[in-house]
This record gives sequence, C-alpha cells and structure tokens, in this order.
Amino acid sequence: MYTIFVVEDDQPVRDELLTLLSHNGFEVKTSDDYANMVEAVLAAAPDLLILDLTLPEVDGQVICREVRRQSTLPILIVTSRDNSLDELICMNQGADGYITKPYNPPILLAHVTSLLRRTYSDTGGPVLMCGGVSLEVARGQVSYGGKTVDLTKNELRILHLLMVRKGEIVSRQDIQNELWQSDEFVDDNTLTVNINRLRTTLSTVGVREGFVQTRRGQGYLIEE
Amino acid sequence: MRLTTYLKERSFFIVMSVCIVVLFTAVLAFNGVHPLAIGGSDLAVLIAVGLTIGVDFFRRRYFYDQLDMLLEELDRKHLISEIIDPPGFLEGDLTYEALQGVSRSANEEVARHWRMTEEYRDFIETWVHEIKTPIAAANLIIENNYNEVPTTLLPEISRIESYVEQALFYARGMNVERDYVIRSESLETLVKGSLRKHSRTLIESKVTPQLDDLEFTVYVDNKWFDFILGQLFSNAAKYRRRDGEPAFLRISAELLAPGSAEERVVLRIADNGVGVHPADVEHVFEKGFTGENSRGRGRSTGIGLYICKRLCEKTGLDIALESTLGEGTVVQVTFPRNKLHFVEAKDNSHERPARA
Repeated sequence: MYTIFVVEDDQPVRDELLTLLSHNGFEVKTSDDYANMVEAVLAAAPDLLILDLTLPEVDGQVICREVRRQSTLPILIVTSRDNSLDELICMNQGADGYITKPYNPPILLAHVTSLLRRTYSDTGGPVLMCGGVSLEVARGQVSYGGKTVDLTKNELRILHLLMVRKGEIVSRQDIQNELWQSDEFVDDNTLTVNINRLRTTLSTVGVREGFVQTRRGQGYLIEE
Repeated sequence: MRLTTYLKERSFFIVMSVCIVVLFTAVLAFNGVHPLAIGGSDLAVLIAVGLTIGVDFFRRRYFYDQLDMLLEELDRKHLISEIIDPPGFLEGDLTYEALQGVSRSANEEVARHWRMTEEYRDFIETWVHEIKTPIAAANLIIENNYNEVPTTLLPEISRIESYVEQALFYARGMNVERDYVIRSESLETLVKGSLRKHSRTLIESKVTPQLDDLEFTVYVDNKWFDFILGQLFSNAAKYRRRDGEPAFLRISAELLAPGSAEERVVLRIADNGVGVHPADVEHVFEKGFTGENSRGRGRSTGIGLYICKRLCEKTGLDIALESTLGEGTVVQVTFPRNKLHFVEAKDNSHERPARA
C-alpha cells in the first residue's frame, strides 16, 4: 500500500482529501507544523507528496525545492494559483505534476496513480476485494475462485470505480466521466456496450450474473 | 495658421498704420518738407510695421502649427504640455500655462482611475484564488459522500466554477501586463486535457467529442487556451440540438501554407447544434452580446466569447466563428507557426498611461 503525504492548510479540503485518498486504498499522512514541514515530510518517507503552494509560514515552492534536494519522491502540486509562471517555476524546482483547484477528484486520483506507476514501475499496487472478486489494479487482472482474467482498459476503469464505491449506486455519468479521464470519450451507448463486455469477461471466471447490478435510471452497483 | 487669416486678424493695426502714414505724409507735405525726405520717412515707418507683423506672424505660426501637429500625432493628447516648449509671447504663454493646468489635472485623473482599475483587478484575482479552495472542498465532499449528496449538485458546482473562471480571465484579458507564458505544446495533449477537465459539462448534456488528427505543435499559454476551449465546450453544450439526434463535437486540425511565412495550424471545433442566426454571427465576439439563441436557454452573459477573443488577440491567435442556423457552428482557432507572432501581437490600445 502506498503512503501519500498531504500538505494542505485549508482544513475542510485537507480532511476531504485524506478521506478520498484512503477510500481509494492509500495510506495517508499529514502535518500542520509548516515551519518544519520539510523535516516532517522526509521523516514520514511517503511514496508521494501532495503539496499546496499557499501555506502559512512557508511557501510551497520552498518546500518543493528543499524536499527535492534531499529526496526523489514524486511531488504533485495542488494549488489555486493557476498562472503558467507558477507552474513553470514549480516544475523547474522538481515538481512532477501540477493541478489547479478546483479539480475534478477523479483527475487528482488519475495523476496520483499515474505518478506512482511511473515512479515505482508498479508491480504490486492496490488490490480491491469484494464478494470473492479481487481486482489487481496495476496488472489489470481480476481473479475469482482461483481463476484469473485480463481486463481491457475500459473494463478495468469501470470495475475499479464500482469496487471503490462498493455498496453505492454509481451513475452512468460518473462512469462516463471516469472513462473520459483516460481519454476514452465514450458516449452513452458505448458505455452500455462496455458494461456488457465487463459482465461477459467477469462471467468467464465464473463471477455470478448479478455481481454488477443495474439500477434503472440511476446507474450501477456492486454490493458489499 | 495661414497668412491671410493672420492679416485679417491684424487688419485694424494695418489700417491704423496706413492711416497714420497718410496723415503723417499730409502734415509733412503741408509744411513744405522735401518729397524725398517724406518718402524716406514713410518707407522707414512701413518697413518697421512690416517687420513687426512678419516676426510676430512667424513666431505665432511656429507655436500654433507645432501644437496642431502634435495634437494630430499624439496618441494620448492629454500629455501635450509635456512635449511642447513655451512660445515666448504673451498670449502664447498664457495658452501654454492653461494647457499645462488642464493637462496636469487630466493626467492625475487618468492615473487615479488607473490605480483604481489595478486595485480592482488585484482584488478579483485574489478573490478568485480564495474561492477556489472552498469549491475544491465542495467537490471533494460530494465525491466522498457520494450517495448522500444529490447528484444534481454537481453540475451546479461546475457552473459556479465556470463563472469564477470567467471572472478571472476577464480580469486577465483586460490586464496590460503579459502574465502569460507561451510555450510549444502538443495540440492533442491540450485538447484532451481540456476535455478531461470540462468532461462534466459535455457528459451532462450528452455531447460526444469526436477527435480527428490533432498531432500538431502550437505556441500557446496552456492555461489561457484551456479557458478558451472550456468556453467553446460549454457553448456547444448549451446550444446543442434537442431533437433527439445525437449531439457531437468534432475536433480537427490542419496545417495550412506549410513552409511559408504564413504557415499556421487551424483548429476546428464543429458542433451540430442549433447554430447562430446569420444576422448575429458577426456580433458573437462583442461584449455583452446575447443573440436570438440565448433567449429561452437560460441566462447568457454574452461575455464568454468576448473574453476568448481578447485572450486570442493578446497571445497572437485568431478566432473566428461560422454557423448555419439549425445545422451547427464551427469555431476556428488559428495558431501562427512563426515563433515571433506573439512578439508582434498587437496590444497597444491598453498601454499604461504615464503617471502624473
């Protein structure tokens, strides 16, 4: 399990960010000792750093530069400063990604996953479990009852979203949005086709018919 | 200043001088002075009068012609008193002083308004950055409490976001400073990035993007360009067709005049929406313009395309819109490939005035 360190001074955003990340299978750490933030980050030895720029006592760019000087861990800047100059400075000071608030949470997660995958040329990665079905996200494989099958990119995305939100109805728009985040700009009809393919693939390893449930007019659901 | 006009102005003095010479001659002749002496004195007086008028004329003409010419040529005419020299004759000096007074007060006024605008813009920028944090929090709260929050809240937050962006880029578009960074970017990466970012707008309104070949390099500021694309996407969503036919947004690009000085990449964003009324097409980039279509489709501020146009002008891009009513709209953004284009980008209209 990857550990992500979050530096963000706005309490509500920080709390929600931590919740979002832990929902998605990451371990999270944070600190609000801004004067000694660099030491705190290095001591926690996370796999990735999410860093806000506008902070009390110290500027995020300074933290970025200092952390980079002493570590190679990936740094993702998440800030409301959205001019190109700030972005350029941060990237030159060793940041690996730059997202501006307010962001689409799936975009943030996509950046995090992609940075982790690139940095650690992922072999393990999070494994999601539900009703005997286990999903190895990094490999794009799903296993059930000892049998394993490869998923296509779209099938993986859909199943991943449904399993992260297991027990909740996920709307068609949200699944579409998730696919769009990997440059698959599918329309409504193609989504139905994709869902049906996912069900077919799942049935090849013996997952029961009703694992991915359809809720008419609402979306899809995998029960806990 | 013409000689005849000047002479007309001086006619009283000239007539009086002539009268005096005549009178003078008569008196001298009556007293039996030698005609040659009379002629000599008359000539001397006339030369003196002529010289006075001549010198005066040229001095005045020099000052007023210069004033005229400078007023003609100066961009900001209120700065006239800074350039012109005091003329050195009474009326001229009086005029000069009055001019200086007017000029000074105009400059102060301009500078005051300049400061006010600048302060206001700074405030907008700060405010926009502040409000982004709570919007980010709201987005995260919705994501984390997925089934407890009504999904209809999401598009509303999107709309708040997009209006906030508009305010920011309006302030930026009006800004005189070049606070953008032009870099070479892949058009494909930019378009896909913007589609990801503005996905909600298009998904909610069921507009499907279709991407053709976009593998071109363009010189832009990625943030500004993302804003422009966002506006175009949101227009495509707002003015989509609603007759049951699938709505699409076809995005394509081509390289024109390769190898020449006019080499350029043209990005075409075509929808099959309701289109724009022919009479409205030429006005769509005007500030505050809301055409036939906007009515009945929710509020329209008529500011989005105006800001797009301003941002394009500032970074040397060209934006144009064509439309067939009922069939769709095509927006073309042209990127000159000449790397110097943004150096030449004309933006003289909003230069910073001199401080008083």
